[in-house]
Amino acid sequence: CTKALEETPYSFYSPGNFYKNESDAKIAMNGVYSALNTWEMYQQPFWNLTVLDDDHVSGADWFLGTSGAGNPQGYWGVDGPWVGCYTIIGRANTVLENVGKLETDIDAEIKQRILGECYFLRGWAYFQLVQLYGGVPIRTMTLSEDPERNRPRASVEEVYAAIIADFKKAETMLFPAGHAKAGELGRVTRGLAKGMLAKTYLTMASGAATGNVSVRGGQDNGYYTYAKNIVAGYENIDSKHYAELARDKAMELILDNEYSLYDSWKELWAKGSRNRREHMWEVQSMTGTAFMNNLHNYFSALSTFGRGATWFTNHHYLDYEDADLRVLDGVVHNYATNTGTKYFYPSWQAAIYKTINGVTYNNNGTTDDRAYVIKYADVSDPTLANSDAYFPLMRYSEIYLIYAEAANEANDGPTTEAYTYLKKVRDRAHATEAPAGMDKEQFRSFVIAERAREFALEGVRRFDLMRWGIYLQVMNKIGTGQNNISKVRAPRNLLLPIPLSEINSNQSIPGNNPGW
Amino acid sequence: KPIAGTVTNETGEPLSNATVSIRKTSLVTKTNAQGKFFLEVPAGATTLVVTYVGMDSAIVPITNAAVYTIQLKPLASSLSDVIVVGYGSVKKSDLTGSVQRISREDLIRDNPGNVLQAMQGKLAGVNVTQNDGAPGAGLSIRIRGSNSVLGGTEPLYVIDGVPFNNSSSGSTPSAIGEDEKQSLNALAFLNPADIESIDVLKDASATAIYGSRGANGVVLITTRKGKVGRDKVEVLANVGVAEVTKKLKMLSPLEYAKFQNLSYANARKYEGATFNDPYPDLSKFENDHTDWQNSIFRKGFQQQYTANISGANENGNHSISFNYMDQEGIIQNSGYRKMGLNLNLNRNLGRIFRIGTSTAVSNGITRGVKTGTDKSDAASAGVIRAALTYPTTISTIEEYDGSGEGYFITNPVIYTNDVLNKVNALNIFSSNFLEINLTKDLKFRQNLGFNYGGNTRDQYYPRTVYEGFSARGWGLKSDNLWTSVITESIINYAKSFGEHSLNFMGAATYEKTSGQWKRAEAKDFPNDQLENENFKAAALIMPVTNNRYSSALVSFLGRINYSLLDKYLLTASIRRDGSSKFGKTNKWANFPSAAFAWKIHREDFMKEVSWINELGLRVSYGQTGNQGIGAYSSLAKLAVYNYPFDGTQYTGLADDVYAGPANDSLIWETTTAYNLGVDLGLLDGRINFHADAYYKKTKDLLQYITTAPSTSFERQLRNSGTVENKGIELALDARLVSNKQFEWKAAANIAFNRNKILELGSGLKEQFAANISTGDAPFIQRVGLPIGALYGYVEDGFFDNEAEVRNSPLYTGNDNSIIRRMIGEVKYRNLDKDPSSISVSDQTVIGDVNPNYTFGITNNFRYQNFDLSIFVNGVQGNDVINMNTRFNDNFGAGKNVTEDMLNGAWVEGKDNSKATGPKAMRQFWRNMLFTRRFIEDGSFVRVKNVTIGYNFPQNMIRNIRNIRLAFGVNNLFTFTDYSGFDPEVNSYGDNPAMFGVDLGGYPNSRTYSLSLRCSF
Repeated sequence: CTKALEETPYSFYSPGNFYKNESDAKIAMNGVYSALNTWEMYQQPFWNLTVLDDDHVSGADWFLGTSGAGNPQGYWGVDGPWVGCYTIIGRANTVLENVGKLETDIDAEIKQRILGECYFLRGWAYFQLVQLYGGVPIRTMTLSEDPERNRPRASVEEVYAAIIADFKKAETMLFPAGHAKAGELGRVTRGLAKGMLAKTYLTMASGAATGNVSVRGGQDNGYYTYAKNIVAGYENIDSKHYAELARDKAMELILDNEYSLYDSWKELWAKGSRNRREHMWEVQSMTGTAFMNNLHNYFSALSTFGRGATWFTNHHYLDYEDADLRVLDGVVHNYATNTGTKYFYPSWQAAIYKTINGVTYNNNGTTDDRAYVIKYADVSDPTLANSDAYFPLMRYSEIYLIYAEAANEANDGPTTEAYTYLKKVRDRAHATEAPAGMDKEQFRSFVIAERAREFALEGVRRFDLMRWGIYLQVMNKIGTGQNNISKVRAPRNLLLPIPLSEINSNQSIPGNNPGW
Repeated sequence: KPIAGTVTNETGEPLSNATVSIRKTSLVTKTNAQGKFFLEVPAGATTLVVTYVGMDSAIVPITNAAVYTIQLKPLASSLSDVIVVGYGSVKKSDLTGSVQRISREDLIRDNPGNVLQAMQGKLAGVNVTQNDGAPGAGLSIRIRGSNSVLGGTEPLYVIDGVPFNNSSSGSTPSAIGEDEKQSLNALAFLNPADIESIDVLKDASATAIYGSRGANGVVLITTRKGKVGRDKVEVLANVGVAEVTKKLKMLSPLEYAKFQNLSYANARKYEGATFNDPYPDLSKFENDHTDWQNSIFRKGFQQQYTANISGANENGNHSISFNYMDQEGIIQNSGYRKMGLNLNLNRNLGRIFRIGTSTAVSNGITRGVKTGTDKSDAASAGVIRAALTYPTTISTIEEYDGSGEGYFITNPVIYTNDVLNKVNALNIFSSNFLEINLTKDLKFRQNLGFNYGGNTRDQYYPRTVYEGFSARGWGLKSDNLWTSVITESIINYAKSFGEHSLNFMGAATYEKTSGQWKRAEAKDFPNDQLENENFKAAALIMPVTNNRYSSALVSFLGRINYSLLDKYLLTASIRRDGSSKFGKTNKWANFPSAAFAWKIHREDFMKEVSWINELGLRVSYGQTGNQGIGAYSSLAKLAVYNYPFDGTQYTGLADDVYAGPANDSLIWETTTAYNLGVDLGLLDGRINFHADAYYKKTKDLLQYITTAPSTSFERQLRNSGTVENKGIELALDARLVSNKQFEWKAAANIAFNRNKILELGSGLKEQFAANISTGDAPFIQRVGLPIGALYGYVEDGFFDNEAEVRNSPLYTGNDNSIIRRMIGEVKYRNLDKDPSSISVSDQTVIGDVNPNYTFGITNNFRYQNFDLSIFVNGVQGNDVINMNTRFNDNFGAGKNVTEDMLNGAWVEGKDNSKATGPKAMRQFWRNMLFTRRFIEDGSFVRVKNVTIGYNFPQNMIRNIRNIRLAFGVNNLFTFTDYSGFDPEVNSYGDNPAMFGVDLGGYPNSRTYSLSLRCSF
């Protein structure tokens, strides 16, 4: 009888007889990466909640009406980043514990790389969490090692300490890109760990900094100067110290000379450039698998919606010089919808774009003014709703801008090198040289604006507004934005709501973030 | 002295081979072909005993007469009814537990489409709810409340002695969308006309013999067997028309255009938007009467036929039945068609052996349209919501073209007509036995049951609808196959010693269920012509997913019935079950029961009371279990989580977040139940009254305890918590008038159940069932509340002016534009200590889906050959969540709304004291919190069926024995305050934690039918 009652699993693997050798370790590691490309994370919620919520984005009101209008709770994916990041953390912990115990049947260097990947991904996940939610519970062990299910929120500083510790471990354990044992392209590398470490330091430094920031915007696209707020939880961080760390870490990576910018903005966004040179890390995608996404459909001019649902504002377009490749090549000026209707952008440059080779394009001067970017447009089949666009998680040009920004903060004013690396980014875009002789706050504001130009719709701008403590001021200065998208934000919008399932089940978290 | 006689059946036809014996002698003989017998009676003999298979035995005193005419009656009449009680049967008068029966006449009177419909409202404490109104859709059944939050409320079905164990959700093959909640009826293969009787075991003393599966009650179904007499052919035919019972009042084209203009005007006024009026010219809508409900509803033609051939003699009996059913649904393109064969053969092999089979084969095809989905605001919300929300200003039927930025809905007509969604269900159920009479008192029976279910789904969303548009055609083929094999070896010993009578039953059983499902999907077809029939042509073929499982149940059981003086009855049973599904340290458990009955009317002191012919008292105790979880639930699992690197996909494995951490100690839920019953029969059985009171306590509730997402698991299956149910059930039936010309019989039942969570365990004070839409999880499980309590916010009128918003602590320090736009918005009551926000802690208990009571009343009248039956049932005091309008709450965006919503909107400068909703305004930031706004009183009283019939006089037409013609109406009228289509709706099927939700389900229909029954 006892035998009759034993269960035979036919269709699943059980943890008890896994994690035995190098192949198992690699398969388990792939499972950690997999959590990036889910319906919690980059299949949509993560970018929806971050890319659609800044001063430069515009789009269809049916698409930007929830998270894009300050109502993340109205968006179905609102819990995604929390759940997705903790899934990465939990799986990384599982691999760290199980693969960590493996002594035989695995190459020691591969083992070290896998552990390094885990530390990196865990650190990366905590870095997203602390920026989106403030202090969060820290878990560095699986439930089987540490069965305590209730864990209180750590302070912002404690979370940062954990992030830095993880990135530092990753930095020593991972291989540089191109190393024989670095694994497939698309995996995290030593250089990336350095870059993320620099970015972490800089985020801490800017959150804790004082002073003013000037931002172009409002209803009239004028320049406004705001006294920056110190971000909640960053009060005791030594801003200058972390700016120095960011500067030095960025310089270390630059001197490693492992990455380089593409000369052409178009080539940068071509399919063939993915995972190469400047693209330090991207969310991977693949046609014919579950790992497709609708980035192309939402962000590109040609779309199954007719035209894409997300673009950047005319105001932001005016923030570029006319010859800047990032708009000259990077914004779609002439296009046809899926039904063949032809449009041009922008309406005020009709002289250049209205008639091309005898073909006339339209623009009604209001709702047709849509600055579509080319970033997500080169996919295997652009006529499908779901395709294989990659989402950039870190580009090398950011390392230059991190350096410039950090050097300016550390030095209380821009250094020659700060100008030098800012220039590298602007040169590639064919933009003119930045004004000489800027003071600390001018240079700071210039770099923030440069980051907006360089990384439009790449999920950078909202985090910049947040870490500089100017999000509420900048957004509310606009009020109702282009295409009637509400930019009005309340103080509660500074952090996302923690999922109810966490608050209901984790008895050590007494309540939600303020206002939720 | 010699005697002679004739044995006949109730209609006077002679019975051959009937056994005639003389008591206390060994003399015995058989009747000849003419039903005649001859015997030599010894001196002193006093009694003749006549027996015949399928008939009540007759006991005839030997008088001076030399010729006897003995008429046998079929096993039927009330008190001598033999009730099936599981692994045996007892006379109704000898019952010690709480068991109720529905006989064939009551089952088929109103031409039910399936067995569960036939049971609805007829038994006290048996609450049958249809999940929605679609033909072939699932029904949920709850007997004496919910014992479980996870294990289902479905009782165990036992068909001709063999357990049939499959929930309707388990039999529904996977659909393209996870949000497609429509379920199928797992018992659809049984034709109600082929059922002789249904016995429902309610209390634990009766169900404990089914051990780990008895906690939700047991429904014992006995199929029809051939009856002694001439071979009989019976034909039932039923044709009818179904129509929707109700339509909702949506805005007409003109009203809709005005509403949209107002919404845009308010966006300009309150938010400084720069919109123009979308409908500057209203005149063109003045004569337009578009109502999309009219376009998708139709009158559905329904037909159902059963032909049965049956007969029996002393060597055996046979019944062969064929049925065909074709029901058109009231929504275009939906329907259900079924063919079935039912075979029931029993045969004696000599005097010792008896074999038999009861086998049903059926094939049902459901053509579905998408209704009842739980994704909020999605364009894929199904045809009902499409018909309600699609703008009426568009009067043409347009294919979805992706440009629907404003409303994002597929045209309801396209949605209804173009989508393929077909489920083909093949079922084989076979119950077989060999019975051996080892001695006069000792019987051995071997049952062998076999059950096969093979269901396939074909689904295709063409590019003309939202789902298929961006995918360029989305096809699916999925299936779901399972088999179960059951062997039961039963030994039965019955013996009377003077005043004592003893019956012992012992059995060993083994049951193995195995199954598998798979799902293949493809997208991007060259065109929609071949639908899902050529995956090879698709540009995108998704990986096939599949799963295989098996589980086993091993049991030993025994029962003793003892009766003293036919007054005091005692029953005791025990079952020991071992199930593969549970944790490795907890595979086995015992389920005992005991019951005592006292037939008071047999006592001497009752002899004087002539108007009481039956008075009985029953007391019982028992333990039962619920093992309604899937195989492998106690194990940890790794799930496949692949990832592509640089254009190549690599396999990945990680902990399955849904499976959760392993749980070696997982065990069944155990229900301990007590029952007290009184049975009273008055005036020679003209009035019968039954009352039962019960108390049930279920411990070790199986629950997916939500784990904080920060643990990286979503949930873990654990035994955690205790719930109680207590209640009273009353049933009355009466033959009020009975004479040759006129007869009036009435039956009524009412049941009260109260459910309460006593503890949740795992340190939990409360938790929530799954979401019913993207953001709503209103089902709270909290100690002291019933399963099905609802939780949410409380509304407190509206912000009537700017000053009111400004003065609210909620908006202190907010930007002016936020303050402006909050005018005319709903105010929520602040129930926590923090006045500056409306947050989770401002929620409270706002409803309960459990009814206060349920009832059913049947009145049957007969005047000469005419008869009339009226059946009324009702549910009172329950809430229903109405999600039909939940998704129009973005009041002012492109979706159409009801007239009531528009008329109730807040309007600046008017008296808003009676306003029911916020101002109309085009916006997307409004986030209506879950309040009573979305919960309604679901009480109803329904005239469920009225049937008028005429029985033609017997033998009016040569060779035809009986003809009956009847006209009936189902769902004639419903009294309710519910604003949706119908309050009897249950989109989550047999999920006990989420009862009573209307996700825009298929509406209920009213059916007019004409039926003919004749036998010859």
